[in-house]
Amino acid sequence: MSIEVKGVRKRFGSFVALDGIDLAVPAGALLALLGPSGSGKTTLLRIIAGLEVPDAGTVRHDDADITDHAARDRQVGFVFQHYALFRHMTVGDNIGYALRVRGAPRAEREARVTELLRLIRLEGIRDRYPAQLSGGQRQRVALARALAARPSVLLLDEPFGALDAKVRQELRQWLRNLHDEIHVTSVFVTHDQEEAFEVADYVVVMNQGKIEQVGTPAEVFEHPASAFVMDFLGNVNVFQGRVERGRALAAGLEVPYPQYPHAEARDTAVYVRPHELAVESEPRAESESLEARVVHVNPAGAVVKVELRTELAGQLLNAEIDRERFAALDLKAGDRVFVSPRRVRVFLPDYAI
Amino acid sequence: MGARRRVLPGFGLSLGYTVFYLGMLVLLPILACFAKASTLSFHEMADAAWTDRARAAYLLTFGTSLIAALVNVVLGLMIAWVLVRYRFPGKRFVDAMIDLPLALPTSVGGLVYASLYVKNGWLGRYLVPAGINVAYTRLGIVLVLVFVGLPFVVRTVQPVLEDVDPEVEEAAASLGATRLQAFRTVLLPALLPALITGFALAFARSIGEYGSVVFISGNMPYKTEIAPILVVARLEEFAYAEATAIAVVLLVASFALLVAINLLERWSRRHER
Repeated sequence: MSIEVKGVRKRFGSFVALDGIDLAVPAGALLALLGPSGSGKTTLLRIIAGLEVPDAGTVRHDDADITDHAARDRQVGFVFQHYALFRHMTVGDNIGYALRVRGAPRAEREARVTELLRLIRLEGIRDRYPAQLSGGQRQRVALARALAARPSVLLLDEPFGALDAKVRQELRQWLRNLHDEIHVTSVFVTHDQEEAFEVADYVVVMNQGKIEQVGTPAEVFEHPASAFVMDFLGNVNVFQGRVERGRALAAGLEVPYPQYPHAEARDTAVYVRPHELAVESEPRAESESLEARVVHVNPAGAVVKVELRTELAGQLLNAEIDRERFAALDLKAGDRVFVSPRRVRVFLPDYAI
Repeated sequence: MGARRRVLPGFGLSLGYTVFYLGMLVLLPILACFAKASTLSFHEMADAAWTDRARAAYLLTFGTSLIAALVNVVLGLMIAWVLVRYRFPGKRFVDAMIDLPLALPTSVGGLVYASLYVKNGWLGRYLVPAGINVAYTRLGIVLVLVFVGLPFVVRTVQPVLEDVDPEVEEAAASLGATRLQAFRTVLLPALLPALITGFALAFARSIGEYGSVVFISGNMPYKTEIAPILVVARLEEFAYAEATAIAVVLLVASFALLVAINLLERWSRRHER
């Protein structure tokens, strides 16, 4: 079932949580709402679930307007950040709850619980209470409980937020596989861009109650739509500089930037991702490379992360170089190197010509 | 062999104090009570404590206390709910008023209730002609016991209700439960241990209540005479041993009931490891 959100607004007192949201989730998609805290992503999720009423705007499932439907009538499965399991019920009773309140016969309920326990690979814990489970197990039980009544939409609020790194990684892949298996239209909220990119078909980046960008992970990563998205995706070097006549100038460097051919110079921030920063032991021609010193080297990973400080401005930079290159350069803390951006990104505020 | 070291100091001292305190304030008087009663032979004791009049008094005491405690569970839950879930002007005032029955001498409460409900009292002048007699009836006893026991339920349920995660109710709603279903299947079980504890406290308080009942019940033997009043009546006849025999019956029955309620409460917490 597809979801369509149109013109949704929501205020809490003087705080504007959602400021005109338009979003379409195609049927069967797995979509991530990504943004910092306070960006409105959880509020949007709760409005889709019917746990919050929008001040303005509509929510549709397929072609039906469900804006005024109560949560219980929406056929939505909701997984809460802190699981919200019923503590006084066993795992089996938790999972069977949706069928119980619908008055399903006991045999049908039991069969469905067995099926879901198999799906979450926790067959042995049917008679335990939530207090006796680990965080990862609780998360999976919460998911099974949300799926029990075969909802047409699955919503997850920071599903892996409260788990440690290893369990998180496992559950991400597991959720992705599960979605490929059951194909229910799913939306999950996260503030972790890595999580969003790894799990989702589509990523929606939100900021201050607005949507900054919607796209596939590749689109969003390769073509950030705004300085905010660029910043939020994180791990990027920012230079203060300007653009003019098809070139970007920052920190004494000149890099081609054909997107801005105008003669009028504009001050702007220039973004360079760590893997787009070349590190060399010899300088290039003047205004093509910056002298810097190695501050710290982190060789643990597929790429080597090098922290640098520019000699001129004393600015800290992050660079990522592949292992062969690292071996050839033989970098240590204190070494003198030269860096040059292979590619820069500039975001100019809208301007009228 | 060295003494086992404890991380928190003061165990010996605090346990010693606890035992001494319980012994002096609770156990010793109870023992004295049993000792006095045992000056009677078993038959004399049975005759003193198991007369028709005494049996009527026990039944009345436990019956009215039970009804009052049950009423309090319902009212107390409602009041706790209003205090926890809603914001309204004067909320703090209402919150403070809950404890008033604890501070007020219960005899004052009983006097005021009696004066309200007698034939020419503020309420009695309308109720008595309508056939509703409160003063000097069992209904009146239940009424003052509800008054006396109310704070116990409210104050045990309130903090537990505050701790109930609203997400749990939202989860029930998103899983398709109606408000009523969510209340019955999710909220009530979470509150059950606190409700049972509050019930036990209100019930125990009511069994021992004397001051307020003495003014509203009229103390008619077989009709509105509760067991504690019967004890006093026997004392006034200088039948000390007989009085303590009745007290022993009250004590044993109360203790048995409280143990049973405690077990029930423990059972309602079985899901907490």
